[in-house]
Amino acid sequence: MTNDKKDNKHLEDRKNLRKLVVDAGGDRCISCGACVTGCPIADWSEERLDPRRMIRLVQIGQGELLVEQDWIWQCTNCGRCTYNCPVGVDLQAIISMARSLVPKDESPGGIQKTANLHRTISNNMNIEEEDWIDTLEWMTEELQSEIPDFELPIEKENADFFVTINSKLPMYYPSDLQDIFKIFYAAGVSWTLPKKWWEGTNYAMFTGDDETWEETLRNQVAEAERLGCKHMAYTECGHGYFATMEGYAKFGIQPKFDVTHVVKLYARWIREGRFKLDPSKNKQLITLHDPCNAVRKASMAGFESIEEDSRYVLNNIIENFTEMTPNREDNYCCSGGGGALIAGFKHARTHYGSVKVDQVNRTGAEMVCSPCVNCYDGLHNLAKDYDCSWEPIHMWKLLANAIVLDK
Amino acid sequence: MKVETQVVVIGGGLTGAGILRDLSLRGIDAVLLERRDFNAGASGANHGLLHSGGRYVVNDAESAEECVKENAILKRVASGCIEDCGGLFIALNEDSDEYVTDFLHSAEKVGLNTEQLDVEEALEDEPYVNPDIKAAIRVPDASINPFLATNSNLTAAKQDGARVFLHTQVIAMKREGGKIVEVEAINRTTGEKITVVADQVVSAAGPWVDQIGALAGVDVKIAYSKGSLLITNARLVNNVINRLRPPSNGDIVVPGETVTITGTTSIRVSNLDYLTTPAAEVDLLVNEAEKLVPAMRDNRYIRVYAGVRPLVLSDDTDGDRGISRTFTIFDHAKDGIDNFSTIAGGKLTTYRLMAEKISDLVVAKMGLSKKCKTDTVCLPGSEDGQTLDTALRLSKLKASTEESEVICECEFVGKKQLQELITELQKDGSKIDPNTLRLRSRLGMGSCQGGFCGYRTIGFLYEEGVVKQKEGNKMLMEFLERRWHGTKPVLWGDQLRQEQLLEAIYCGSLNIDGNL
Amino acid sequence: MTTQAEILIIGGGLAGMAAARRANSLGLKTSVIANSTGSLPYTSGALDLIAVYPTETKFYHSKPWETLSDLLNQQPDHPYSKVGLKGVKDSIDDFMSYLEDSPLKYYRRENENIAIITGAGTIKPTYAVQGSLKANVLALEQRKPTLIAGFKGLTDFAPEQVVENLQDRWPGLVAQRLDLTGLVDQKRRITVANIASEFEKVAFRAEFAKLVKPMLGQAKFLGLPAILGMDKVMDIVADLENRLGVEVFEIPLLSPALPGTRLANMLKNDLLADGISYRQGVPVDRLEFEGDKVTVAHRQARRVDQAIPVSMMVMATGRFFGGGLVAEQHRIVEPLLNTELEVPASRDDWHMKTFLGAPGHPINRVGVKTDEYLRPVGSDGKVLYKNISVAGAILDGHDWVREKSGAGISIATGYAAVDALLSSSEVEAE
Repeated sequence: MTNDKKDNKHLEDRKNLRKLVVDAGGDRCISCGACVTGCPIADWSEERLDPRRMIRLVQIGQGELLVEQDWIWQCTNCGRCTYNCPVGVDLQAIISMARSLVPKDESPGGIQKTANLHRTISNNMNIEEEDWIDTLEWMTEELQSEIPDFELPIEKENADFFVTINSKLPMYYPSDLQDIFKIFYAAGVSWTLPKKWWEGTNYAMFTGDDETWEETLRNQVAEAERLGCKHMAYTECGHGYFATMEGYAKFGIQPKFDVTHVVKLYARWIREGRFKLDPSKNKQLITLHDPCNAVRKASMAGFESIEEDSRYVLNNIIENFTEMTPNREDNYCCSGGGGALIAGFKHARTHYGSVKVDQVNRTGAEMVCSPCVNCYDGLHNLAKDYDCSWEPIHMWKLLANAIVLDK
Repeated sequence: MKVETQVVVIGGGLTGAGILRDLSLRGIDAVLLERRDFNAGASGANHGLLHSGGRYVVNDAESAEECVKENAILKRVASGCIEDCGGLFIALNEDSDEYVTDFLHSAEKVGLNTEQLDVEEALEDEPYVNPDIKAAIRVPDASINPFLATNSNLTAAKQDGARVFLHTQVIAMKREGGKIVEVEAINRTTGEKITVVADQVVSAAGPWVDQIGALAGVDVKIAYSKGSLLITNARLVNNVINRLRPPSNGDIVVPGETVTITGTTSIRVSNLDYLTTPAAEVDLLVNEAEKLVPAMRDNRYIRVYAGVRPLVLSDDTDGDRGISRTFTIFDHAKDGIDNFSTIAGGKLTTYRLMAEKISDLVVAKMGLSKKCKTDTVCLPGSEDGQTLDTALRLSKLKASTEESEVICECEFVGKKQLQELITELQKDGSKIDPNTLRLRSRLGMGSCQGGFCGYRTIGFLYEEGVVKQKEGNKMLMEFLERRWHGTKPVLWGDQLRQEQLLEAIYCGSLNIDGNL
Repeated sequence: MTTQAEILIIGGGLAGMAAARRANSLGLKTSVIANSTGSLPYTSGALDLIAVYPTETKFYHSKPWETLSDLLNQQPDHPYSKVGLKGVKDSIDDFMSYLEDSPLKYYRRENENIAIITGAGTIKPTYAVQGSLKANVLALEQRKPTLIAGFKGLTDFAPEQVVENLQDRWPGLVAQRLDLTGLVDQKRRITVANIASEFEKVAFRAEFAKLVKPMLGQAKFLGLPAILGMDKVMDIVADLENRLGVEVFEIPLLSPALPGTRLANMLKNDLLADGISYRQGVPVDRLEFEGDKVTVAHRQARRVDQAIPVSMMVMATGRFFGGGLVAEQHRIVEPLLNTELEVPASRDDWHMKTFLGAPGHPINRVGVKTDEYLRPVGSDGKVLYKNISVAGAILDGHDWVREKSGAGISIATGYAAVDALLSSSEVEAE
């Protein structure tokens, strides 16, 4: 005579989803569709789900259906929906909540596995400490052919800057480490790399695995504090930066150091005249991609964002800059956010990446400066899939190119 | 046009539709006349509650017993219109303990299944119900969609040969001797006159039974009791939530597919055709609802609506709530007309029983011995035990978008569904406008209350060629005004923001209020 | 995150933008924080000055400056009256000159209102329109043969509706629904945003022109729903006109309304290009006052409090839609100054019995009361805070949606609010 009795967890989830929609302001939705206009995955699913329909599903008591959809994992967490909502519905929070209600071992692709690795071995790529040191030393040797007096500061106590590195670098693009080393060297600042907890990402945020998220952050903080660093230089990784700033606020972590995105450091050091720069080393026509996490989402969340400093830096290190439109906080997602690169929905990513591709194509640029490792990968994939004539490039590479070192 | 039949039923609410279906199932030719569209009266303005009988056990055993029986029957034969969500009767700390015992005791007497629950157990599935309660009793309440219910009855009747004339108003009844020989009606859309010649005339016109009676020269004494209800834009409860105390205002909260409905009041009115709910009445309903479901204080209300119950006057009453909810059948042979009868009172839950009783009377008057079968034969859409299930929404959305576009974003109503409806309506010779479409789908019943989809619907009607010249825009404005009537009393908070956007679009961007 | 600025503008709608441009042009270091996008993206990008007055009679006026003079005489509390006729004219001329020279090539006839056809087939009077609607004005005036083209699958626009409603006065109107199958990726829904991004591609425009050209017949104009790109609309219009040999115009729709979005984006980007700090998605929680100093506490991401001390502030937070005013069940409040507005005692009287009737809803006329310098005043008429001024729709004494005066009020008071702060601070200094 009554509805089927489901187990308690199920009810608990439904309760949470419903409460979350109210707490995130979902009830305020006025069906205007501003969120749909900005959403890259609004067309994608068979059910033609979009942010507005997502809210509606939860309102009508069918939030559980949402939790079962691949769609919530295809979302790149770009934040346009929340950014454009006139009544302040926190749509991102609803997606995150839906994801967190999926049992961790059922989350798609490699996202949770990556988070688990991070938690156990202190980095995503399962790089053992010796391999890390080996790679660093190897790159040091390579760099010394250009800069003979370069010394690698591993575990240097009381250095000013604790530097984070995205584990894709030692794993796949080790030569990029040389660019980073060169920049810090040329800036003349004291800095260090630890043996562990140098990872500049945080995939746990993508599955709503708060425990792992918090634990990895605290471990990294402990490491930086152990070394007595005053500042953390957060590498060019959008979500890593965001997860760090958001995580500190969310979990009440109060480190003894401050965190600055490296792009802001580049800008600061240029203003301070620490570099001698030769923009003619970067002659190509270059445009700039604004990573969602370091620009739009950082700004909304109250953290320092990098859009103006990115442009300042570029204007000092390249010859030909062209702006893509829309840009800054209005820029489109690279298609690789939210764990999308490893969630296993490549075809979805490629499909909605067409918006980004069109946008870059319109600029006629040869290169897209992409100050975020995941954005770089996302754009790289798109360029291949759509047979584009442009390629992404990290800002550290452009800066390192332009730096002139007096012998 | 002249129409000959055995029985003419006046009134297209659930009772009238039920009668038409009952008679048709008995093989009797019948015609229904309805002044507006179906469910224009109380059938279209109620809680959508299939009573278990719990509300009446203590004070009105007769009603309660009827509900118990009909509840079970309808869950079988009309399952496709029902979401068997169950119900809870909850007692707040200030409610009497005695009533709890009375309730359980009385329930047993009328055969109502109850189960007293631990408060914690009861609240497990109800994150928004007031946790500060001292008793909870489970009952077999359910949520019923009255539009589906009436429509399925009409469809069933038509399948068996009955004819339905909507937008057709009875304007005169010609008496000769002790019989009504002709019922004259006019189609309000086309102006066409229809003369119905029938053996029997049945009035199931709800609160208009006195007016219909007057046309026949008969005095049917009823009072008009208005009840207002509020709708929220989300589904806050999973069971029907009732207050465990003597029935009063605003003490029921019903999940109605995608929304939550709360009410009601009981206020005497004299004007049937223009019902309003003043702010004070709305506030009262919000206050009462909050006691059962605290979240209903801040939740967004999207509309208020009101219906009028016809209360058959008797001498022994205790305020309007004391008037028995059991129905009354008037055999007007007592008033000198052999072939005229009226049914009034009752409730949604007992419509089938009401239809059965008056059909029995009418059949007897015709000297026939056909028996009622509506307690066993399922309605169309319920033959295979289908039920109402909002979980189907997502697949409905998928279906909607596969072949066509979505017109109503809030309720996922697609073009294809509307095209099918239009074809149906055209076959029936019925009016096609946003309201007739709305009654037969869920178009415009969600958060924006047709604010956006009303516009898209008109565009769609122009595309289909159903409307020409300025007809469509005129319909749009009428639709907006009709909608306004229901939204105006709940305009504060986020609903006001919604309205402000719509006014800005309609009057600002589109200048639809202008006269250029 | 701290914001260093001489003047802080709260509100990213038209009034906030106008105030920011004004402040910047006067050399003030300016910063803007906005809750969300404001209401511009929901509008047709058409800028109203005044077209209906009084709203009781719904009388339409074709000469806005004359109407304004009347209004100023009769309604001393109207926002226009606070600014004065010269102030209104100067600010409008200045702002319009910027828009006319911009890539959106705004169009107006200085002393006359103009009219456009809308997606509902109604006629809307206004003062200035985006360049892509200029031919809309002309086509309506000239009533030459015109093709109104919609798209199969786009439920937001029915060319049949436009033609049916206007046919009696414009017999040369013809409706056509275009099938974009084959021109657009199957997977992409036919929506305003998607079609707009297609129109940005040259290849698409070429195919589109091939599709539509044979349907033009005798038409001298082609009217399309407002989907001609997200951004470089005038280039797209020029390209289409070149390919088709007719004048091309846009017809405004419900939301998403691209012309309004384009205007909002351009205003924002131009401010950013001028070095003005503009941040969106930043709701202000409350204002904290200590003596003459105001601290803006804004709770970003609903968690972190950041207080910015400011010396001059313009409040252009809009009405209910953007959250500038909040209607509780029994009262209406302005949350930043934490004041309660004077409203009819019963909620029944906040609105009229009909939605569209005259003169307009009483609730639309309530707003923040100010002195002649647009500074907020208390119920005793005394200025509440000397270093805050108020601009835009949140002001008391107007019904922009019925008067058709929204943009004009925003621009005029946006400028005036900045000027007032400067002049009053000069007075202070003396």
